[in-house]
Amino acid sequence: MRSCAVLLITSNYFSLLFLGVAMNQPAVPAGPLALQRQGPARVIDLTALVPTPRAGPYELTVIVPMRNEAANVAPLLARVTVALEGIDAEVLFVDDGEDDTADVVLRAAARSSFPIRVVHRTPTERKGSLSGAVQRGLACTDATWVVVMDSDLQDPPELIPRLLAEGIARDLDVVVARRYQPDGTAEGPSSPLRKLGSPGVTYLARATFPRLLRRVNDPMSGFFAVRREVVDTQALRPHGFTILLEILARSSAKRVAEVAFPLGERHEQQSNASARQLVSYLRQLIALRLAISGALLSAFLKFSAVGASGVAVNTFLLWLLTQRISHLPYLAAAFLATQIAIVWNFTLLEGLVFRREQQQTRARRFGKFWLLNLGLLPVQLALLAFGVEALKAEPVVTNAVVLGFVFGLRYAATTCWVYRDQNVAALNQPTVGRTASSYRSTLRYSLRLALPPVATLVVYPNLVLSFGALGLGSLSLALLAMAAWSALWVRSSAPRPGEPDVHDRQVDIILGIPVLAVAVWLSLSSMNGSALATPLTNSGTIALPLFLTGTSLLLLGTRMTSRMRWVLVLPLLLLPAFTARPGLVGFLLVTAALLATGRHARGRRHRTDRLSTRERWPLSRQQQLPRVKRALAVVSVVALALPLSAVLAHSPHAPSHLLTPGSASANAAPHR
Amino acid sequence: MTSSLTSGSAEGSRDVADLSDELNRLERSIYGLRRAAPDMSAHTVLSRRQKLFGLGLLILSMGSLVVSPFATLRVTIGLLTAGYTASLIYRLLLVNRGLRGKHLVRVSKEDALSLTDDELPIYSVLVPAYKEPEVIAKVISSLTALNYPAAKLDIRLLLEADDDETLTAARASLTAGAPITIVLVPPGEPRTKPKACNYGLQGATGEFVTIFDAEDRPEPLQLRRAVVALRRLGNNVACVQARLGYFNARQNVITKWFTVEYANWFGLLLPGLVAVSAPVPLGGTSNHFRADLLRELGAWDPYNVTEDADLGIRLARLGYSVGVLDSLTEEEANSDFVNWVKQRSRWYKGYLQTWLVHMRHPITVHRELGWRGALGLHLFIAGTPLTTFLNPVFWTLCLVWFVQQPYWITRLFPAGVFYLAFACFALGNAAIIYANLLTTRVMREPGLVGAALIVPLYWVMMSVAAAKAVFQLIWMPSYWEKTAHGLHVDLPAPVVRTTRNPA
Repeated sequence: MRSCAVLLITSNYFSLLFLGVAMNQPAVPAGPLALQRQGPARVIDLTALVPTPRAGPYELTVIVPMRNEAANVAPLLARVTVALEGIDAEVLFVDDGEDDTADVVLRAAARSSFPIRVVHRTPTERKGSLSGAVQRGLACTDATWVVVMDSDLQDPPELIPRLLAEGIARDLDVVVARRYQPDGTAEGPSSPLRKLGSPGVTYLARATFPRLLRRVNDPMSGFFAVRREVVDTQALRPHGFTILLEILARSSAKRVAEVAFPLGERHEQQSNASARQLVSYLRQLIALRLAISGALLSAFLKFSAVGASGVAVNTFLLWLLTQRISHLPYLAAAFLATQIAIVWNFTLLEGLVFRREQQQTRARRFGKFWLLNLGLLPVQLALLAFGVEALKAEPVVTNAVVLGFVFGLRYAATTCWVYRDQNVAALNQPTVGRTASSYRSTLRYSLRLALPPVATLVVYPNLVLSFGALGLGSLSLALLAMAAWSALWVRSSAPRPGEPDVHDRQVDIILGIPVLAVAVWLSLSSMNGSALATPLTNSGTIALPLFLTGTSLLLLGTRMTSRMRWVLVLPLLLLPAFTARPGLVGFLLVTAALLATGRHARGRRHRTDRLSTRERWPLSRQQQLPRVKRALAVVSVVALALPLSAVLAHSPHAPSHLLTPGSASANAAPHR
Repeated sequence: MTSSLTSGSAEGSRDVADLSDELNRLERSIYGLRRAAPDMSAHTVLSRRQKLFGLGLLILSMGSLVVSPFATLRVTIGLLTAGYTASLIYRLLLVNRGLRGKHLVRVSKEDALSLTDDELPIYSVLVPAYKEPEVIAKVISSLTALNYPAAKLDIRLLLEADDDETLTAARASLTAGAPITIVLVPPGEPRTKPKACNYGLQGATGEFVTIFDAEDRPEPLQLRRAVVALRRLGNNVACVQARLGYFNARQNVITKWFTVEYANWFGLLLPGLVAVSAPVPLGGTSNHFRADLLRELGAWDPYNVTEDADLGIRLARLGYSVGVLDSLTEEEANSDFVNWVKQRSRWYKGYLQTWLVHMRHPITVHRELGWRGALGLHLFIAGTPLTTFLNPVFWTLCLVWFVQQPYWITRLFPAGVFYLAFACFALGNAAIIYANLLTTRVMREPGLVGAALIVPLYWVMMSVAAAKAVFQLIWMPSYWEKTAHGLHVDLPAPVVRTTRNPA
């Protein structure tokens, strides 16, 4: 039971870890990919037909997304004409339909007293449904303010001046029009979503974004005014009907307010709400919360499902091979089981997750996938052997845990190496260009980030584990603590806003080598010094964070290490508390990790203003060393680490007795 | 060379005469000093004789290390401790002399303003900038704020011809009628500030000439004060150096330390050097020269990365003296650790470079500078980076001693040396911290006291920079470590003024 929990939590953390890394990638300016995706917009600009053509942005653009609603155009325009009296405004229809809406609008525009434009989206361009239409509209205007409204005349155009006035007077970024039933009951249905159960849907959104929506009662509203400059259309990944939520979550809008209005009567439009929309809504909500694109999320979820089934198959086979059919040694059995699981995973991935056309042949893809898994196999087997031999755990259970561990690694490698093309295609929208190369650099980045902790783990396995075991009483919880710490480690590596992008390898080396030297000196002297076995009193304990600091100075650089300074000293800071109140500290650590990752997901919203400070400091994460020198740095750390670990392994004071589960009660008191 | 020149000419076709003129100027700005006085140029770090001497010293020490390792180490440590102590005492002496406040050149506001436009000479201001588009608009506004008749001002913005960003920014922020000319320095190595300054100096029309960095905010009356000071002090004073301070002192603890250090440097140490008649290493900006004299001396050494300090020593060797002018130029203090280390390592490297250049003919130098001057050259110019470099070595020995008390340390430090070293460690450090506290008192800036008290952390940063400087001196002596500017946050906090007003 407990192993199951550990498996779940660790795999969960690793996925969080991966997401953290993925999201820490700098937003690459939209590249050729985005341009190509956007396509030539069929913008029919009718400004020329208007009596007084003009230059410069309008004060207001009213964006009306349409779909097969030609009949609504005339009544809508009639009311809008009255409402926009005295405002420097234009109306922009975004037409997703197959009917003659565009022509109707064109005819109406000829008679209109203000400029009217229509943008028609061809079926191939119609991504993101209603929200996508609004996004396109936003991209086509540079007016100071934009009002988005439904075409069904349920949103009274008479309210537009009020929204605008409110926004200007109170210096707001977004003004939302909130509907209420004139008879005093709660908000009535308007968009198809609302029919699914409006209070629930709204509540869910507000529960997901408690801070963002604290002044917004109706996040599902399709009628709102927004200051154009706060929206970066490139950053939106619209989907379904949640355009307001999308804009709030992925823009730099800060000051938001609501204006209430009574619900109007519904004009003709077939409403088509379904359970499908609810699912798509939930997906979008999660994607927004995690600040990633919906397509990426669903690919990740599918991949996780396939991965879980693979773990099940693998575990089952291992059980068969070691205990039923034959009694193979567990390592050999794990090897065989993994081979079959690879085929299983590949078949499912091809069929379910990465279905689109690939440039490479299937055989080649399989070859890559197989090689990748083979590459991960030593890691997997080493961890398995460690678990079985050192921790005396059951092979089948350990195998499952280990597979959970390598899951994140496998996902990153698979998406960016085996299914590179797919990846590009999976970016559904002309979003901030997350290209294949950025995925490759994500992998490189995460591998590099993992190097110092891994080196430390290799050198001080006993010490690392005893840290956790001491605090939390059992090994599984120690693993949990390590996972929590890893999440913090990844989280803290993100560049801070406004931080200069100045690096210096010489400084890294000048700082790193003495720190490493001190760590080595301390751990060696702690061995032949007095025989104090508990981490609290062992001077080797200080060596642990020092060693980690030294390796990360050398491998990651001074700047990144200084970002992670609190995470580096955290084990030391917690040590006294660990001995006193293990459970509480573990809880706090996990909470901190959760908060950190959560905060990061929110941080995405402020990307826009963060980027502006960075423009002067074009992002390069490190001055790249020549490849040879980089390899030399890694080799020298390894060369240092191996003999040291060998020496330490024979240390008489390795607190291995702490590692066996069940000795928790003894740990509270210092040993000896 | 020609091809790079034509690519640099952004203005289209030009005359052949212009081109050859440009070529001549470039040639002179790079090779001028090297040709006129090869021994004064840092083109090569070590002369042949220095190399032989160094090699001999190395072989000798290696040999004796093999023959008698502990004796050799004991002697080395003894010598280093002696040098360390001497440098420390010299520094405290300078603080003491500087505190008397006699050697700061003061020009009252009335005197500065009393000069009529006709009495004022033409003044050339050189502003070298490279890849700093973000600060160029500010420097133009602070230059136009100078209280000096526009007709007599000759401001030259020295931009590298291939630095399009800065060039565009400069052209955009230049208003018509401002006395500012953009001088395009043809691209070419060494791409250093002194090369650009040499190039700009050749076309300068002023009787006096000064340098401001792109991020500087000079006090508006500074040019007038410099004119009065240079005229009053007579022809023997080749240059007056204005004090430098920081406008972003309160940004973070690094800028606080840096501010205290600068106030200490320009307010106490440099006047102290003047008082003991030692050569003054000039600061990078706001040094006001007599233009003809500067040209005669060969101007700046384009191969030295602290060409200003080098020029100060050269002036002293040729018998000229330098005054420290009580007028403040505000710069941007480096607020970022890595960036700070880069900048500081360049300074340290330059100091070592300068010392080596001037030690090519030790006997001549000692004759030219006199024993006081030579003492300053050794203990201040070379002593500052070297003591900083050695600090961590002794700190580590100290730490090891306190933790383990190993026997080999007692063998390395004979009693006399140990007590001297320990006195340096205990009393010397305390005295330097006290000098820093004193500086905050002189500045009347109680807000910086906290930073002054934890200044040993700043010394660690200095040691990192010194280590970097020593490595670079060996591997890449003329590499100019570029410092990024524009990292400061504009705070409403009042600017820290380093008013000299001893209580």
